[in-house]
Amino acid sequence: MNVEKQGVSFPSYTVVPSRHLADLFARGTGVDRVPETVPPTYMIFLRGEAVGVNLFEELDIPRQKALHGGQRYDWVRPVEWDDTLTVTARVASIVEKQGKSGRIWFADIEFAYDDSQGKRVLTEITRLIERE
Amino acid sequence: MGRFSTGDTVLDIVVKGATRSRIALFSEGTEDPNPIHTDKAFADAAGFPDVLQQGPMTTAHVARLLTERAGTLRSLDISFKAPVFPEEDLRITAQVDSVAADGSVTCRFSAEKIDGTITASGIATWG
Repeated sequence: MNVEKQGVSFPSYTVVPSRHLADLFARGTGVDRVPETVPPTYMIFLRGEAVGVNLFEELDIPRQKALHGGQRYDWVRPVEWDDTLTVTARVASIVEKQGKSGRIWFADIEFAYDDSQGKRVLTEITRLIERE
Repeated sequence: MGRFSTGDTVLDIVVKGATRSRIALFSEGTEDPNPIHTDKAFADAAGFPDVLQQGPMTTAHVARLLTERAGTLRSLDISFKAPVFPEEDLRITAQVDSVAADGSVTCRFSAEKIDGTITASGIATWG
């Protein structure tokens, strides 16, 4: 993991909820009805990868050594279908620890989602782990 | 008197294990290109016996179920503890940890396999 990326912010990008993707999201979880509202965790860091914030590349994490450690969401309000959200990602912290079979790195990446008025809608933290 | 009290069980439900095709749908729905969820050879090379169900699928289960039961969430913090493989059912439980004077509720939740392995746990708040 590239520990020098700690504190780095990436260029902002926009995300608009897609009813098609939300339908796939819901069906993936076993819910076979089209979501009436945007699923609470529809906004997810992975959507940044399609527009250039590829955390695995940016942090130099080989996918086969990567684990997803967890997520945190803090909502100010639910996301609406007509929201256009500006997303800004920042590497909040990178911690290295010694495990039984080598080093392990823990990275917390924070994604701030703001609406078109510049008001915060939610914050997502995703925790990525790399095993040596 | 609020709707929830400390110690109340908010959730105790078994979510049917995701098939490989459902896992693939969830990857499409989250725009997740990671082959570890869809390519068994890739998962093998990463040291797993099969493709992995996405951790965020467990997050999605918990968020949806809590929202249906309690209403709009304010926060959800989840840690993934163990991998989940296709077809593995998950028992999701949640209990009220505390109710604040302003009515906001904090609950602790977990997801476990039928053999008792805890796959995820965390804290959620609403109200």
